[in-house]
Amino acid sequence: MHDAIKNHWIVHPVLPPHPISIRALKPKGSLLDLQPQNINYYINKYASLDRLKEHFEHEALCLNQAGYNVYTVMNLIRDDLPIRKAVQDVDIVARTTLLIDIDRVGDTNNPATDLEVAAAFRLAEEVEAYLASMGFPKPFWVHSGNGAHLYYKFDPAIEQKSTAGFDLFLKALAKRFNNDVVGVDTTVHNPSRITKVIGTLARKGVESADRPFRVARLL
Amino acid sequence: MSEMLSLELLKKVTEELNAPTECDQAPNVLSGPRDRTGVDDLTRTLAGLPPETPGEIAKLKSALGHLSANVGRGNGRLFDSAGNPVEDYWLGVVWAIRSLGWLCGEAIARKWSQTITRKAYCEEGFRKAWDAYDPLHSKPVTVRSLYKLASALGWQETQCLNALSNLASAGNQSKYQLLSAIEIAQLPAISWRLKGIFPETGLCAIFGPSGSGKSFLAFDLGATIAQGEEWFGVKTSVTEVVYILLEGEAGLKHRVEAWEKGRSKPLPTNFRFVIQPMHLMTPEDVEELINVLPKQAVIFVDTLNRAAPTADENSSRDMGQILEAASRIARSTKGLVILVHHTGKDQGRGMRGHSSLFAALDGCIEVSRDAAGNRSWSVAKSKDGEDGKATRFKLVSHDLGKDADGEEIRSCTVERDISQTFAPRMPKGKNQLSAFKAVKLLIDNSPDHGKCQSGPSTRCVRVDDAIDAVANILLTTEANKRRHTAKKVIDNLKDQAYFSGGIDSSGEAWLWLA
Repeated sequence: MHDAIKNHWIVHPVLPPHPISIRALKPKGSLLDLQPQNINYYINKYASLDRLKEHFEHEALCLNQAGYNVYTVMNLIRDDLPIRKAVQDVDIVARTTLLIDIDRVGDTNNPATDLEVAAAFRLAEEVEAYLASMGFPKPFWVHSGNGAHLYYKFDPAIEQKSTAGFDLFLKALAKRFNNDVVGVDTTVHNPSRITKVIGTLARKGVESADRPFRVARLL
Repeated sequence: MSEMLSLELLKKVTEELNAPTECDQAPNVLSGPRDRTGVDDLTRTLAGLPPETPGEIAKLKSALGHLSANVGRGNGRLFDSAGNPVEDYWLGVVWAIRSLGWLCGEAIARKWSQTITRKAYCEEGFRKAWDAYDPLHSKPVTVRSLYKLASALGWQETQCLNALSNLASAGNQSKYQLLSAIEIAQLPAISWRLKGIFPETGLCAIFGPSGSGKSFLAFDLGATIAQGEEWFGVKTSVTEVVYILLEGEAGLKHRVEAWEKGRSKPLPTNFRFVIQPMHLMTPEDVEELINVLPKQAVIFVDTLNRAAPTADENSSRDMGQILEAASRIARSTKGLVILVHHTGKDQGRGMRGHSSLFAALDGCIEVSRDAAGNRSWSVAKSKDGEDGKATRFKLVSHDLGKDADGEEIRSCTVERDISQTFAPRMPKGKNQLSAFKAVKLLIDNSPDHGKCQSGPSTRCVRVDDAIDAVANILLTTEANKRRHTAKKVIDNLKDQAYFSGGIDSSGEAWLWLA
């Protein structure tokens, strides 16, 4: 897990002067008394980019070890946001990332089985193949812990703050590809959407032998 | 990744995706894997949905035989928010069948709907209901709910399976099968509720003399199973737990309070209690109890004596009746019944009562307390696991405030007693040993207690202070690298379970002795 988190920067690079953000939330079904945590990191507070990353990784892993699920914001955050403020849509200055989140449908209160994860990856392969045929670049593939994440990057970042284009795209994708078992999550379209910090354990509900908690990891 | 995505391409693909397809033009034809009315075979297999086989079809028809089409249309649900079966379930049943995506599903649902007698069957109404199924609903009704509803109305899957099995056996001319070593190896492995000690189904016991702490131990085991956590280092598999408390029920409130205080978390909601008197020798009591017990649960009966107060425990006939009643509960719930029982006058001879009790058990834990007051539990019997595991434990008393007369209220929780079992471990590496001693000294003198999940009386130090303390002794390390190295050494000590750590609500990181 300590090494897996290094891959976080491949998908979500730091782009100064924009801060990077951690949001730590109590997992669904957790019995621990965990209050939400927001921490924003600014490059100008650290001696180097490596120190910033090191600090972010340490905090993410500590929070994760303490029972939190740890998330980060995917897009560019305004550089005057207070350190403990949760990032909202109005705090995003530009989009760098399109996330296609493929997960099982229905009851998602507990971790997915290996078979359900396999079904999600099968659908993700179909989605990727279709988008490639339409001219999309190769995405980053991430095992979210319970399904598949495909991350497509915009360069240069786009100043699209409205959710409309992304909302319509995800809905159209879901309409075409979803089945009764797995589908595209259409709710991840807003600019300040958070996603799991790569290298952290994704918890939800009750862990069991066939429904284990898994680490989110870059594939 | 060389190319990048553009907003123009995103919009273009959105338009392309929204263009009509052949599937949209013929939505009711099960034409292939992209058809949203069904699921392709591989996905069905991957997701564990029942395949469209003769056995599964027979099972569905068998369950439908216990469901009446002469009920209200309903809103598509089979159970209400409290988990109780709804009265009007017609639409829910139709949608549950639809969720299977079987080619023959529509015909089965239609045939079942046509059994309606209170009014005329309406094909148009059936078609509308069938087409209104939404697979993307956040909580779609499934065939599992249908089977659960049928079970609640008297359907028994085992009868159905037995019938199918008999059919298969009839084809083979015999109900007996000769198994080879290879076939035996392929039989499913035993499923454990408490690994190596108690199986998921069957009859087990926890016994010990009065005052040994067996009820506290049983309570703690129940709460741990309800969370699926390790119990004294032994793995458990999570399930619902019901504790039938027939002895000391007045203290239950305090026992719960003490457990929550000791563990710093609420008792799991899937750990529930029965405190009304219950007699295993009274068939009506047993039936009524079975009706409220969840399936595949663990059911504690504390104590056996209180559950059969009129029985002669030394009589094989009475003990036979008790065992039959307990086994019936286990069979009906497909769960595990754990009897909490006393030892006899001669503690060396084990459980009180007829020897058939011990013989009938699938697993048994003996609780003991020596003359010095040391408590321990050990595995007295495990049918398919390992006997003789012994573990020391202690009862930790908790102050729960004062009662109306101003007297202290106290109750206990169970904790592992390592005081006489293990000498404290020490790190072996030179740097690690020095760092451990430096941080331990800091912790021993720290005024801070009970940070994060450390426990109310555990001394804690800030991680930053611990790093400073270790950095100060790393004299051979370059000055600008000391804090970095110190952090690594502390992380290693945490990985090796010398320290535990956590973050408090203000974001401060803390360290304490594991």
